[in-house]
Amino acid sequence: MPQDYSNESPLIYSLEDEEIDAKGGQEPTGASDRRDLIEGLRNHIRRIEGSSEFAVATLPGWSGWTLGMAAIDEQLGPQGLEPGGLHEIRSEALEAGMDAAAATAARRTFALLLAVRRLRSLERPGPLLWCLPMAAAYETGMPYARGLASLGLDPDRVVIVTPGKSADVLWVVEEAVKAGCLSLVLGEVAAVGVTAARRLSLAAAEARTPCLLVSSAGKPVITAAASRWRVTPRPSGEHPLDPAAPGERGFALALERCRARPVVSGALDFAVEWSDAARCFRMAAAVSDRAPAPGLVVGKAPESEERWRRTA
Amino acid sequence: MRIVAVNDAARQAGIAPGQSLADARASLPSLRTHPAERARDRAALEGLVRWAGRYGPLRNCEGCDGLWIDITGVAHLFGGEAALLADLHRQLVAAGFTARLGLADTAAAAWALARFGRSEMPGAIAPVGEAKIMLAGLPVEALRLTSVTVLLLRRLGLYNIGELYPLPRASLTRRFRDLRAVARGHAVDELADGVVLRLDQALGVIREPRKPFAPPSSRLVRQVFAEPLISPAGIDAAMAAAVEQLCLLLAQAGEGVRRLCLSLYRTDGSSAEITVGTSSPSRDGGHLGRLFAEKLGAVDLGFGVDVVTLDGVVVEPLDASQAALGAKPHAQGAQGLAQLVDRLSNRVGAAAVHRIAARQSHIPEQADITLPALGDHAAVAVSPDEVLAPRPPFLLGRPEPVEVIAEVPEGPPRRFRWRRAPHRVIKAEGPERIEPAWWQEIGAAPATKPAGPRDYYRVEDDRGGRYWVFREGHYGREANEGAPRWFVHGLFG
Repeated sequence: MPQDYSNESPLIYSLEDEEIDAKGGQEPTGASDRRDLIEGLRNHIRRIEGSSEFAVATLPGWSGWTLGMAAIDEQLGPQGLEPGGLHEIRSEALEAGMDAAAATAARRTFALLLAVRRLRSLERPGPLLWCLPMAAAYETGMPYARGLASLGLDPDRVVIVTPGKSADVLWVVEEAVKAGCLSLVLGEVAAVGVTAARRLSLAAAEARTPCLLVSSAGKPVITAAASRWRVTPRPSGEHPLDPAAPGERGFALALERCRARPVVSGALDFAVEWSDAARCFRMAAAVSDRAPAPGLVVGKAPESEERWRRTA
Repeated sequence: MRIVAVNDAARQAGIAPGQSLADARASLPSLRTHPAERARDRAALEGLVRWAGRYGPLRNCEGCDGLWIDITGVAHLFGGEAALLADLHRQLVAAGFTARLGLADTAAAAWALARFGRSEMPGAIAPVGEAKIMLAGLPVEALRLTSVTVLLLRRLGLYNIGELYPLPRASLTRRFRDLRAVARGHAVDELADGVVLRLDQALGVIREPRKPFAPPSSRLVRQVFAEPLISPAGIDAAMAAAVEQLCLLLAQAGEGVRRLCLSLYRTDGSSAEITVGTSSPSRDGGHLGRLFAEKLGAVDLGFGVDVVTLDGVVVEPLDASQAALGAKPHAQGAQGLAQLVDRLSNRVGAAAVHRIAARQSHIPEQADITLPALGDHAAVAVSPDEVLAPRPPFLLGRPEPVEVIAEVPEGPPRRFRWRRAPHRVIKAEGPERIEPAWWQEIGAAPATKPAGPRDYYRVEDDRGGRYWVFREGHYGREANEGAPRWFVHGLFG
């Protein structure tokens, strides 16, 4: 008896119908219609590829893992940063006089802030794991509970792993990603190799656990990472009360690579600030043309004992 | 066939251990004999050792007919050493044993007194420091020497231990060496050392370590193979089977394991041990198996392994839990985290996997506490929200000194040089003054300079690096005070 495939054909046809509908409908007029159409098609492709995460990602009311800043978020695609992907954070090769510790601290802080955004995007945030080799902890400082809390990260959620050997970091990160019980895994390595990135990407996709790799290598290699950021410290913004005090943390970001952006048109540069109050990134204002807030006495000599710190 | 042991009646009739059975029967036709059962004797002695735990936790069998108990610090509970011996003797007699007891500063002296002491029951006691006098009258056999050595000493005219005391040690050794011909077939040095060693042990000159009795673990799984396992796959399978068997035992007892020891006995008589620990009690065979699998790869199997034992060294109660229906391949939630922490701890070390929490202290480097990665730490940790002052997310292990140019003496730094790189400060916030704890000043030795107050500043340099720097001490408040020193203590990132 010949095999009957009639059961399966409606499914195929329905998919095609949908596609035809999407393509062959009336010509979209507005830009928003066009965007909806493209998003719909993208979702369609993802559904065919069998990834359920992205189908969920576009449900109405779902807030993805984003930076909370429209200019960058629209570059990341509709679902924000890929939750099942590897994200690389690196620095430019150090210019002369640039402090290596400050550059590392900036990369690390940016990664932690992405982790804060990730935890905020989750309905039930879980623990996260941060693996840094002992040498890096000595060089740039150990994680400090009160400081993490001031970034918006509950230190109780962070499992810190400090292997003595740098070679163990990738192993720890891979194990942690594969465990599938963490909301995010953060690792600090000297450089990300092609093989390691591929392994971690696959593990992250399978376990639906995002993985952030902070690397100090100046020279990037093309890896399987879902996104790659270049982070350098940038002078902070204006302090709302005290012009002499550092304000919100500033970063110079460059989105060098993003899987959701198929056309590679060079790195996109952004000058951003982290807003401690809103717990999101925002565009940094140019520092020079900012006038001090009216009614504030500028340039008053600091009276050391009395002038206690002031926080908004 | 020889007589091994006799009772009082037989001894009085002239029967002695060592006699052949035929001779004994010939001299005493009414003699009743039983075949010796050494295994049961041993078991009975071990039972007695277990029971003897009531007199002291450190005790064990001594040879095949004795036991020792370390009663250091215990005697007063029984009303003194004599009362303790009397009680011990009474209990042994009540249980049907004939016993001889000895008590002395050293185990060797007590051994000698119990077997050769010439005192009435309950037993011979050598008061503290008098073992030498008590032993002097005892025969040299009481030194636990081999029969050959005893014979040698006898031929030299040395019958009592006391006769050995005045002999110079060198000459004691030399005399035996001279009699090499007599000690045919024996290592002479061994004999000589034997006498000196035993004498020293009895008199407490040399410590004699003793292994206390340890009850065998009930959480032990043993697998014996007819053919040695030589392939890694075979070892893996044996390990997995042993783990599974152990988990079954644990499940029956309602326990989980915290520390596991896998011993692989090779055919050439050597052995290898792998120990793994878990952060919370577990009897998940798959999980424990994975912990071992990571370490098994590095084990040298040699000529093959024929016995595998798995010992649950540390077990803790663990209630039964219900597995979720259709459990996912990835372990979920808290259990998944516990297993992950175990795997990481066994590779990078338990101390390297941790969490941090804020602690109630205003001194920055003491305000952080490292905690185990698992468990509820609400008791020690304080909510970091209480702190309003800015704190860096990364704190250097120890403050690093920097060279500073400050605009005004009490103000923030203008420029500083840290790790040989110059920094020009653009913005600064502070100071936040942190005084040292007053009790440290009180406790400090007068010679050491007490830590001064610290003024912390949050500074930003022209390149956007944000640092937490502080100045220790004041500018010239007192004449003997040096210039204040500046340090970098953290990075804000």
